[in-house]
Amino acid sequence: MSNYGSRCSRLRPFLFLAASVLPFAASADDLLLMLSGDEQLVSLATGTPQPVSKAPAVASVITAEDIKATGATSLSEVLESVPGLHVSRNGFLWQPIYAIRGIATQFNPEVLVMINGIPTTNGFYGNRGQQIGGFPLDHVSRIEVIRGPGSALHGAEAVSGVINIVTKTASEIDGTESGLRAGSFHTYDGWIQHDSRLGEVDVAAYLRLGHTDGFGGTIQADAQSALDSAYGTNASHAPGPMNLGSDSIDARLDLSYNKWRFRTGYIGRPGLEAGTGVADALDPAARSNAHYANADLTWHDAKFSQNWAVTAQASYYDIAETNSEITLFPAGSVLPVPLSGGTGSTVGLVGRPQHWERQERLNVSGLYGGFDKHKLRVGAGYNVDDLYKTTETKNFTFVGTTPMCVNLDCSMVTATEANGLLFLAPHRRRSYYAYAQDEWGFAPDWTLTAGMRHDRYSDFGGTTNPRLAVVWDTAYNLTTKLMFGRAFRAPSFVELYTLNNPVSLGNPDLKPETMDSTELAFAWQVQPKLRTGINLFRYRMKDVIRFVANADPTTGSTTQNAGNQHGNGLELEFTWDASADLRLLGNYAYQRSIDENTNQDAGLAPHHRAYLRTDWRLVPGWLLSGQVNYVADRKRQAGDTRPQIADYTTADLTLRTDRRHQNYELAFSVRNLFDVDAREPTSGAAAVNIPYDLPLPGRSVYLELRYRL
Amino acid sequence: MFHARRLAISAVLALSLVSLACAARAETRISVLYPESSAAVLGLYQTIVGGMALAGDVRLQSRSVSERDTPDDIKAWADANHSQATIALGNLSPAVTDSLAAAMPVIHGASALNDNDQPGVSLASSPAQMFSRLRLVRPEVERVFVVYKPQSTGWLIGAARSAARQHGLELVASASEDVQQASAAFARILQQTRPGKDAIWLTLDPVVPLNQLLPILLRESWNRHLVLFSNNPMDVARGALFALYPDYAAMGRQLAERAKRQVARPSLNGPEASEGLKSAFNTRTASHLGVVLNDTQLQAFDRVFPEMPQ
Repeated sequence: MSNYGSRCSRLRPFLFLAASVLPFAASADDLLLMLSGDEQLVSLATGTPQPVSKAPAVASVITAEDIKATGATSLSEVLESVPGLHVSRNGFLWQPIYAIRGIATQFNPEVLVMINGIPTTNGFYGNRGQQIGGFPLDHVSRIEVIRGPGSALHGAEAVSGVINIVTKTASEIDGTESGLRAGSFHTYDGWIQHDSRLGEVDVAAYLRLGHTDGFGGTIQADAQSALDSAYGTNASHAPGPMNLGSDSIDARLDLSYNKWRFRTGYIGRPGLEAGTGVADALDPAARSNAHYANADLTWHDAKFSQNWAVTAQASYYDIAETNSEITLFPAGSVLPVPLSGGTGSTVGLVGRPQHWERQERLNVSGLYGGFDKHKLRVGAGYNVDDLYKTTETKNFTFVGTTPMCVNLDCSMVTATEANGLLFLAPHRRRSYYAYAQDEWGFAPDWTLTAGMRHDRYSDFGGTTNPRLAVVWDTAYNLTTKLMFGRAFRAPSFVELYTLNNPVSLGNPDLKPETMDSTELAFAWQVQPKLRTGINLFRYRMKDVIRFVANADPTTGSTTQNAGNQHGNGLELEFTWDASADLRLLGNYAYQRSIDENTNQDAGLAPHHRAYLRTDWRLVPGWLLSGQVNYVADRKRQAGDTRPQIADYTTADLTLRTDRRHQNYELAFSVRNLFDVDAREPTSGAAAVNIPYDLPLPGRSVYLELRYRL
Repeated sequence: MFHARRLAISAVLALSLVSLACAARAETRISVLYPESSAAVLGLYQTIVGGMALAGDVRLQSRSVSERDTPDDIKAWADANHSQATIALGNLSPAVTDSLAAAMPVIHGASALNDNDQPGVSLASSPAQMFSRLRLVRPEVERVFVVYKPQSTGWLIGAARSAARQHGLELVASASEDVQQASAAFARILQQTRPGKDAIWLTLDPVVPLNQLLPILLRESWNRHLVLFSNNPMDVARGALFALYPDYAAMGRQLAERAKRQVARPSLNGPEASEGLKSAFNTRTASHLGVVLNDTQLQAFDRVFPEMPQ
């Protein structure tokens, strides 16, 4: 009886519907679109950023259509749409800081960025390069973002998150496509991409050239301003614009034949300006010249044997980060440069550190499906990271922590290991690893994913990182996940081996940083057209690498595994296809992170962030996309007595033709529509040197034309 | 000797000319019409027209029809092309198709063809292939429930009955005259279903108000371990187990073949289901139902949901 009652109550909606439904017949055109299987035709762009409900991780996918809809032109712009991820800035070279779930550090090595599954990590700072500038998106097929630890599968640096940029294959390019973009700050871009078939080989090629003067937001005061006050000089370029100009060359080639694939890419950044300067003193003359070249040969056999799919890959990455003379402090500054028999110098503090690095990676992985209800993934690899050349010319050295000229006329000298002036000697690091992960459907609707990876490095030893995830398909429209993971970050060459810079001496005894993270996630499809996600997380980082004052403070500070940090928070997200012509999506993220050394807020990252985007096909053939980004409650770090940095809300608008079968597309974007004064916080020494934080671009406009031959 | 050689050459030439003449005679001249639409839809029409060219022995002329075009304009255009048949895609005005139908066979396509008498190829997928795939992924299923309006998709259900018999399935088809009856029919169906043994087939019949019913059917199918399969890949993204849906290029070819047959036998009547199909599969729903496919079976599907980055 009770069964019958419950059955009737479940079917009550039918009775209601029987009395209320109206006839509905899709038009032939709608039906044709719907059955095409192409969501981009059915609605507006694919789900962005959508919870990928069954993956044993909290993941978002940003598609090429999303990128176009929002008018984003660089990786940093588009990542701001991901819940729990805020893109802040490091003033030096204007490097992006991908602050995920409250973990925000100057060089941001806690985030692993990959291109086509291959890490872009430079051993030098442990991040993806100092001088890479913006990463263009026209050749990107999709961007996968996993928040939380990923070392059990991906190894080092996958601590707070993993970002995988997947470039377009030949099948995703329609003949020859080209584009031109021009906009504020003398920004110009031109690109061309092409697919073809040479015999049995599929070819995808891409070339882009770009230039920008940069928006040049004003820095009211810099490190030299303070020195000018102390010494009565007028050397500082502040108040003055940040130096954010850059030229860029990007090229990619993708050849695939049968089970083989060869890819190569080049990122050239000639003429990248120094942002706020290497020593937080504006340096308008400095120019960087960097290149990043990669190649990989991949062999994949989905049917290697009855139950095995096997992939083998060899890859190579070559990095050169060079520059013209960098002025740490400008000419005219009176620095405490006590020369023997001299007075002092006003030529400024000049240096030119450069480094070259190459990486070789070999790996093989297999997916085994021969066990009932199990999917086993195993892999092993060998990496060589060779910082094979470092050079430096400079006019200064340190006595204690005080800089002074190397010679009487304060002229430039070549730093070498022999004369004890070189900032960092070449080093070569080898590592190998092995991992195994099993996905076990241990009961109906329940899947347990358990994995472990061991990495062994030639310089600092071994580290083992497990992962455990239970995914429960709770109901037809609800998935629940409980996940635990441990991750690690390898100490960088700079952190291990820096010489001759007493404020940041390296320490070869460093251990890796580690993080344990626990997540509870729900993916709930409220209605067929309304998807939501809720994620709760907590984490604890141990052995965080920081600079610690030496026992004798006059000798400077050295890197130590001295920090611990914990945090927790939540993320809410939704995507609603309100109609065939209107999509709304948004997210809200909260986090609170505590630096255990001070027991105070870790600072910098926003406690609250909200994002809302609307894609609206307002008339046939035109798509209007608006997005609003709210960044709030960013605490200062312990010891930083400045008032809390102001919250901000920015709005962007993009109008684009939406005519997929015409040869041209036109787009017009306005970013920071209301010209809001938005700023990102300075931290560490920069908190003192650049007290008024880093301004973000004001209102800017861009016009884009794409043409398909 | 010389004469014999000349004779042979002449014979070869004559034979070639005869074959060419025969080939020319065998070629069917087809006019293809489609309504002026958005760029996205026009792209799909072009895919269908491109597929028609894959059928042998056809000469195609295609054009869009705007609201400004009169039936006489279109008729004059088809006559100028010496058309033997017209393929009408999408929702063209009956005034246009009727004026052509008086002179030549008109074959309809790129719509659901909810009319038992309309000659053409429907967007509805072949029931035989639907049931074959159902058997493959869930051999335990014994009954298939479907709700339909006889005047709309009677032709499809007729074909489905014989296909079901061939595949050892019992087809329980509930005739409904309107959406209220259809909703009540689904309520009755759900009360008699048996977990693991029954399946519900979602067709394109407009009598089923899927906008409102789909969430309920997804929930009840999940809770009762029923197989929900569909003609629409988007239903799979939302939780149906699998879908077979038309491959538009293949559909174009099928339309052209139908046009040729229609010219040869003008009395042919009624729609036929799409035979060239794509497929979509939901691994999450499959896992819930205990459906286990090996990699080869899974790779046979064109789309697999949910899509996962790792």
